[in-house]
Order: sequence, then structure tokens, then C-alpha cells
Amino acid sequence: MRFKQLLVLSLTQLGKILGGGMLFAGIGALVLGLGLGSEVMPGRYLLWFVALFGGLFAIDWTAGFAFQNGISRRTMWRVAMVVMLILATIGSFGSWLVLALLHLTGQPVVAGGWLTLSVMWLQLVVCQLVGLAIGAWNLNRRFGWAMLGPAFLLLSLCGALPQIVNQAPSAPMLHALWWTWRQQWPLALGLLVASVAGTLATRLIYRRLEAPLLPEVGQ
Amino acid sequence: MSEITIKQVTKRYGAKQVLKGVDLNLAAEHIYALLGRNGVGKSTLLRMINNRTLATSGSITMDGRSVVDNETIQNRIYLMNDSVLYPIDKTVSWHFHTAQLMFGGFDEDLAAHLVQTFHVDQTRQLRQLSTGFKTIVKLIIALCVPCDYILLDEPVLGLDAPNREQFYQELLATYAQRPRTFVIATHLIEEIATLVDHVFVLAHGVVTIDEAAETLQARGRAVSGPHQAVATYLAETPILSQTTMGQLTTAYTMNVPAAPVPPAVQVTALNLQQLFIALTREDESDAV
Repeated sequence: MRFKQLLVLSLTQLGKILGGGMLFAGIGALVLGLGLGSEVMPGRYLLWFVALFGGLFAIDWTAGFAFQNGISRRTMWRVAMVVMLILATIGSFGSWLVLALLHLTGQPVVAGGWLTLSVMWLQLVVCQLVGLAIGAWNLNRRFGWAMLGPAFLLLSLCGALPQIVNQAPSAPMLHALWWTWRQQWPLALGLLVASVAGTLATRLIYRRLEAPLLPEVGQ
Repeated sequence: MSEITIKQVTKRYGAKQVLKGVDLNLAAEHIYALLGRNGVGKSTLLRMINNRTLATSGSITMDGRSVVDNETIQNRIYLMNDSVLYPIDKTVSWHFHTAQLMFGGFDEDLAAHLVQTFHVDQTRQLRQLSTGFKTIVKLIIALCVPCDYILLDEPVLGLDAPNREQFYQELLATYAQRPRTFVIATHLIEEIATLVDHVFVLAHGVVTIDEAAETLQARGRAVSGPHQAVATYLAETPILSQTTMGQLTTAYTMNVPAAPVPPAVQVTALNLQQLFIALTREDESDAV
């Protein structure tokens, strides 16, 4: 019951933050794009930061609200996971749709930003699916919640550095580091292997699909 | 009757050890004062009871079950402190409604009464309220949620004197109507002295006083007089602290000697605030 209530509140908050943020970023991107003569790049960065920091703020808000109302970290974490999965699903669905359309039409439109974005989203999905699986398996884990913040921050930075994030599975590494610090060695190792494998798989698919279309974004 | 038991709880922030092994019990239907100087760990302790931060070691249990990440237990504990974790863009009535959703059994009649008493505009967003009114809204929620343990960390921050007085009256009234446990951490000791029935004093990371308020106040004494006379009179008595001004010394003690008071020496009772100061003050002069 509390999970559902918290989820609804969290999504509402996220919607408000992202709605306002995206509008602001959209206008900003348009202005910057026109000013800099680029249609994509400024918008990509702005949208990235809005999406990820918006998500971070929403989850931070959720955590505060949950603490005030006696909701456990476990529930918080599950809510945060679902929120992130929804974000990631929307993002990856949109990105894959763009990619599919590109293949269907054969038009190498200037969509490097979106394609790069798809890899980010997919990485996020992989990371969080693994995290969710761990959450389901080990419900009493006290600090699962704390996995999200650093990953979000890192991915936000990576959003501005697409070439770097394409080369390094940094988010899962960070997750694994967290568990290592907590001395949960099997979890750390399992997460590392699963996430790196997932990341590599998405990178492989991405490269195969992207390469013929967008050599300028390629590796 | 439920009870919260805190055993050997420590808390470390980096290199700083704030709590060094706190032991205390919070029984049902009491009003406790949790006293201590700034930075001694009162808020940290309350936050640990409410699962907002985790102990470095030790245990906090309610009826034998850990309070950590236990929603069933946390549903019975409510912490009101200076942080505003509520969404500030929501109206006061939304917050009341949400408290009902989250805790169930929100006392709407009491809320209505308190809203009227404190003249709170329920249609306003939290961010539109002054600091004092934000505090009042948080206090109303704290008094109206059906929790068995209400932890109030500096509950009257930002309230003017009439509102503080009104709040204390309302607290006593609601306690009489529905007894539950309140833990009040505050520096306004005089104001809560008549409310509380038990006192904890936290100092140097441990609980140094755990005693019924009445007993504690009955024991505390200030012994004043010429330095030598006070020293002789209290020669065999443990002294909490003392101040010296010229030839006059005032020593604070929990146990006055059974011997007759010398003519030059005066013994007076201490109120809770004076006692707290005596208990936590670093010595300002040479020992007697």
C-alpha cells in the first residue's frame, strides 16, 4: 500500500520536474542550437542533464518524503528502481524507435545524439534490472538505495561525454565498488559481471546498428 | 506495553565519534526530555530511532525487534525535527490528508481544533508559510498521527512565546486524552520542565543521567558561600561543577551532606535548567 502511494507521489513529482525541466531545456536547446548553428548537440546535453538530474531530484524528494513517513529504505529503493526503469524504458523505447525509423527509411539524419542516448538508456536499464533483481532477491539489504545516487551522477556526467561512456561500463563499476565497500563480495562480483556483460551486449548491438548510419558518431 | 530499547549504540561520522555507547529505554506513556549540549548527538539518536540514519554499532529495538527498516515499527514512531521533508508546494490540508494515507488514524478532530487554535490557513502551500507556521503545521501532524512514539527534536523552533505556551498546553491535553510516549529534545529546558516526567542527559557520547524528573530536581542543590567553607562542607561529596567569583564559590551537587549546613553556607534547590547546566558545564575554576 505504502509502496503504491509513494510510487504515485514520486512519479507525480518526477513528472512535474521533468515537465518543467524539459520545457526549459527545449527552449534553451532551441536558442543555443540556433545561436551555435547546431540542431542537436546543445539540446542533447541539456536534455540529458534535465532528465538525469530531474530523476535525481525526484528520487531525493521521494527519499525525504519516505523518511518523514516511516517508509523503509527497502520500499524507497524499490520505488526509485521503478521510477528509473520507467525513465529508462521511455528513453530506450524512444531511442530504439528512432533507430528503427532510420533503418527503415535509410536516412542518416543528424541523430547522433539520440543514438548515443539510446546506449545510455540501455545501460541504465541493464544496471537497474540487475539492481532490481538483487533487490528482489535480497530484500533486507539496507543500503540498496544508495546505489542509485552515484550511478545517476556518473551517468549524468557521462551524458555530456558520450564517447567516454561508450568505452567504459562505468556505472556498473560504480555499483560494484559500492558493494565492495560494503564488503558484500559476492554481490559486488555478481553485479559487476552481469552489468558489464549487459553493457557490452548493448554496445555490440548499438555498434552494429549504428555503424552503417552514423560513422561520425562511431568509435 | 511496548518499549524501545537502545543498547550500546554508537555513531561515527568519519573520524568523529558522536555517540560512544548509548543505553536507554523508552517506555510507553511517558514524556521524556532528552537534554544535551550542542553537537552531543541528540538529533542523531532520534534520527536513528526513526531509521533516518543508521547506528555504527549497537541495537535499537522495539519489543525485541529491530527498528531498522521495519515499516511496521516505524509506522508507530514519528519524528518531527527542523528539516522540512514535506513537499513545500503542497497545501496544508494536502499534508494532513497524506499523513492520514501514510499512517492511518490521523486525528482529524484534533487537527481541526489545532488549526483553529493556531490560526493556520489550510489552503496555503507550505512554502507560503512563515517559519513559525511551518513548525506549527509539522507539530499538528506530529500530534495527530496515531503513533505510539512521538519524537520532537527542537519542536518549538521559530515559534513565538504565546504559541510555544499554547503548544505545551495542547501537548499535555492530547497526552491526557491519548497517552503515548513523547521524547522532547530541546534547549528550552525551563519551558518543558513541568511537562516531562523523565530526563535523559547526553554528554560525551553517553547517557550520563537517566532519572525521573521529580527525583532529579529533588536531588540537585547549589551550595554557595566562602570558598573554604564550601570546600569543607562538601569535602566528602561528589561535585558536578562549580563557579568561583572572588571569594565566593557556588558548587553544584546531587547529594548534599547529612551534616548541618554551616552558617556561612547557603543551600538552594536547582531547577531543571540549572541542574542541566551544572551537569554539563566544564569547570570554570579550580576544584574545591
